[in-house]
Amino acid sequence: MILRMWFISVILANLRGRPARSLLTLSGIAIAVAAVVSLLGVVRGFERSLLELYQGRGIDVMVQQAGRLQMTSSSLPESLGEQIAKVEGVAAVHPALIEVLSLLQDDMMGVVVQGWQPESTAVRQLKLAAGQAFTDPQARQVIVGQRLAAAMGVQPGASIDLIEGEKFEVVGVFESNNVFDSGSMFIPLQALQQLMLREDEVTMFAVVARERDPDVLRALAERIGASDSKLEAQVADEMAQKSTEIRVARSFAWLTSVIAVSIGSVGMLNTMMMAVFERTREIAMLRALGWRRRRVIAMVLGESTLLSILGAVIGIVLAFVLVRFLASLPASGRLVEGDIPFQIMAQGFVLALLLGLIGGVYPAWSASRLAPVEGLRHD
Amino acid sequence: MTKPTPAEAMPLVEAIRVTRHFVDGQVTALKDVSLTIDEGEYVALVGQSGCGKSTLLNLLGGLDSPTTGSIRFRGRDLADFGDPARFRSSQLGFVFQSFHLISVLTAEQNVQMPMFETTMGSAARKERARELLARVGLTHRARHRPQKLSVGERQRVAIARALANRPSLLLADEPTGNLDSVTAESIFSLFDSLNQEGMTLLLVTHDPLLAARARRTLTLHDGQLISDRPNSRTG
Repeated sequence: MILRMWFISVILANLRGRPARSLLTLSGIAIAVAAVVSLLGVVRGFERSLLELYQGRGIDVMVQQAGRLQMTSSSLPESLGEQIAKVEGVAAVHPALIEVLSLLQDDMMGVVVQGWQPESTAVRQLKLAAGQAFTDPQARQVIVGQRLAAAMGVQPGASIDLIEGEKFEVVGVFESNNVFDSGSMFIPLQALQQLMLREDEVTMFAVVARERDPDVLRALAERIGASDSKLEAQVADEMAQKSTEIRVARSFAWLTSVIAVSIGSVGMLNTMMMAVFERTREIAMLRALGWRRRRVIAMVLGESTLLSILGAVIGIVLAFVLVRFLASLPASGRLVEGDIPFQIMAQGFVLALLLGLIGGVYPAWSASRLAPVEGLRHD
Repeated sequence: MTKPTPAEAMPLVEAIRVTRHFVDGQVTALKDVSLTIDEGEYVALVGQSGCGKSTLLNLLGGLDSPTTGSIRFRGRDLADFGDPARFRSSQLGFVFQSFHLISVLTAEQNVQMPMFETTMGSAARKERARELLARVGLTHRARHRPQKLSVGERQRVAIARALANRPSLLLADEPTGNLDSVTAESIFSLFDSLNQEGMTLLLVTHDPLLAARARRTLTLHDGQLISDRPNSRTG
């Protein structure tokens, strides 16, 4: 076996002997891996939160206006709820109005305000950390998620302006591991409709099914969609996957990742080419001493791979710290979960190894082709 | 003295009508050179700068290929080796004028480098490196990097490295070219004792003192072998 333990000591000595070059390459790979892992980690967390948002509320099928890419732009008459309730397989229908309001200073995302009936599953399943839930469908009361309450600095009993001059009382604070939930607030449906001048209008209907088998749910969604041309129904679990926000975030994360990987690859290629160029005489001498081509390849690839492994470990730790930090900030904490799934970390690791291979293959091949006589003359 | 067997009678290394052109045939470094070197010989290759000494050494060591003619080692044409690295690893030791030690490795690690192409394990390799450093009087410098060694010590490390795989032929290109006379003398003595132990040596040198220590001198002039004579000094 060409890569015996003692051969690794030579590779390590080569890397340690050129600390500046090794550290620069290491930081390049670590930054690329950190960028990819943190971006994909944030998007994956975003996706998981969106998925759990529906699952956690016991909602099986979501119904919105047909042809709308974003749920918040959907608009349906509330009366359609009765029609949906008659569709075979539907146990309950809960109308909801979702609005995004600007409540915090310097907040680019806005705060999601969810209008639900007090008796809806969504409200009943809220886990209150303080205060109580609202019971009056028209009450000017709100229940605020913990992350939002922390960002706004409010507790039960506080009064907030949802729109200038429109005061609402905070009656409860609920806890949720879900960043979307925790960064949003709940308000009685009718109160929100009045506030937004959208009486009898809803954004969507949350349907509770009689059976929860995935195939049965898909068939139910199709039946609801077919019942009225204005309606588009999707199984809640699948909706998160198809969400525009998720798709845009995913595309953006991959695009950024591709750029980070490209920069990382070029950096690694540059470093390893320089390493080979600087050591032309040394490699030629090793060939003169009898080193076979494959051993030279193993040495150069070994160096790039070792740098990649170290870069991956540092990059993953950096990504973890960065995501934790973002989750702790009031501005971003409402969108970013503090954890990175293991799968994303593994992807980051594999990516770093690929960087090492991509960046190391050509220099290694080039070094192995070096004619000893030519190399020994090299200045 | 017993009569040599056919295998023993075969030259260790042989150049047969070797010509080497460079730059698309515009420069002729060697022209129709033939020579043989037997096992146990101590040969000096002399001549003016640019006469083709290093080219010949590179050809004999399998680092380069002749344009015409052939180089044979124990009767086998070097052109028959796909990658002559294995041949160099098992049969040859190289000593270069500028040592070519790896700056990030210690003296002991530098000596170990040729052994990576053998089946030696870590312990055996270290032991062999220490043995060789002791042989060249550098036991106390084993853990020093080249930049911490004197030029004479560096050349001795390079010689220890050349001996790592117990080569049949030691090729040295101007081994004392960068050394002062006192240090050069210690290297001469080392070569003498290696030859006395049976090692075949071919040294390219400008140094008449070193050439005089060899038992035979080959002289090149303008790429042609113009003289091949035994030295008057005897063992």
